[in-house]
Amino acid sequence: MTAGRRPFGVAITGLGLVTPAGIGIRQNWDRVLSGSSCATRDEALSGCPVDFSCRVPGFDPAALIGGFASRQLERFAQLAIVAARLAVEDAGLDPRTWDGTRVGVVLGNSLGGVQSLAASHAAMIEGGPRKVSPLMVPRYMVNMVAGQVAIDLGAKGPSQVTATACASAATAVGVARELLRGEACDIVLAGGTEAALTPLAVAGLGRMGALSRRSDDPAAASRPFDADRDGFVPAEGAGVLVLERFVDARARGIRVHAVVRGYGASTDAHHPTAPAPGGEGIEQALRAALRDARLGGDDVDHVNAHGTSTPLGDVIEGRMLRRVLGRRPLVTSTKGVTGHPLAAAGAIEAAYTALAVEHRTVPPTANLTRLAPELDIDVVHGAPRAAPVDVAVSTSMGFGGHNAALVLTAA
Amino acid sequence: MNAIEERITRILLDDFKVRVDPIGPDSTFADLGFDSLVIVELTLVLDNEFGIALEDGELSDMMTIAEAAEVVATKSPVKGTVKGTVA
Repeated sequence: MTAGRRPFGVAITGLGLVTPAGIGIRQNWDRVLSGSSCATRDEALSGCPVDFSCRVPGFDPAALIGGFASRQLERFAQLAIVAARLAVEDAGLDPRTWDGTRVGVVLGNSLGGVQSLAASHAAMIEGGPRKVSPLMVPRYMVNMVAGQVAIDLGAKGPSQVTATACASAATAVGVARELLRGEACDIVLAGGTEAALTPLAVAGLGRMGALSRRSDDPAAASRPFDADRDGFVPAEGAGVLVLERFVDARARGIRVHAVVRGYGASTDAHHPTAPAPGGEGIEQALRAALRDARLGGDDVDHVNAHGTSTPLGDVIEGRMLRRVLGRRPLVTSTKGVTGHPLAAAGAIEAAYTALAVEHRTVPPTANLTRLAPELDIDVVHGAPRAAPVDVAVSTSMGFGGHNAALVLTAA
Repeated sequence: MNAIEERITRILLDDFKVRVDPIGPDSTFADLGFDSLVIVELTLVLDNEFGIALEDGELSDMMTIAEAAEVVATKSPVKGTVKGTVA
């Protein structure tokens, strides 16, 4: 525990989820509680060494955004726009009447619009530079998703895209909290998005050895913390949280899902893609987040772990959790259900963490049948577990050695 | 509406998903929501559709569908790239 300034809590007043588990809070929470994996064979990846993934089911951009507008947007932006709209609606806000100059947008993304890049590259090889689409650059650029969400909702406060790979969306929540603390704005739409399930991107991830090769049984492939895990399952999705200063949310009288009370970040400075073997980087981020929240490791009831289902990462993280969190809190990795939505993971999982706090229920980790023998942590599996979840943690680790941790508390 | 105008209109509806109503030969591309970038994209699509090679700048967002059809009608099919023909 650290003396000094009081913890700064920002209220999560809206959740927008567009994930393999569904569209909207209800579909997502039901699917995550069911503990059944969303991974299926993926026609678009047919013929690739890894030919399965977790896609958002039933996402119709023309119906949701309009055909003409959505044609000019890459899928990662389409998913984010719909998630942002859902989050704003859930928060009881109306973009037609709010003061847009006080609304910020901070979203994480890593791979940008790889579909447009690949399509224009192919067109250029065949027909020369003139065949490159004039929309390739605005569709491809990672920052564009913050700009597009701002256009869609009339958000004229500060906006940016955070790029810390698979920690991007957790970083976004941390950055958003600072914008609110500094009173740069009153509302921030914070989260992340990723839609890079193209043969090129998935082949690249596969060549790194990061992906599960369980093509014969995709539904069993994402198995965080299980002894038989062999890599992550690539996913797409977007998650957006509406964040407001707690006092503002209270004054507005809106329901608060949970409070973001602490944030910590660190960098391994070890290797471009391999996590530091002792887990010291993610430990540093988690301890910083707890210190920021004025809480100790013994206060934590629940962890929504990064747990991607990779052989190395899960052990490093699981051992770290045992070291830092004394009371063996209930751990889950919802990536067993959703797969790994890369830059969107931190926000989707922060949303699930908020729902766990709100409903006092920890979702199970899909496909966990035999805990990795190196680990001594209490991983919820088989069925959801009801528990008093007053303090919860969401961890994120990204290529580049980026680590981020969020501490959420009950409202 | 002549045949070229009809084909351009069909592209606007099917490919660009324009849902502005009414849409006719006198509609400008700006009326339909096109900006300068989407006009360049339309140029590429029309090149493929008619097997021609429009120059950048030959179409603009202030043009009507009828005016664009006139520009297309002046173009000769480009050898080797023909998918459709102007007439």
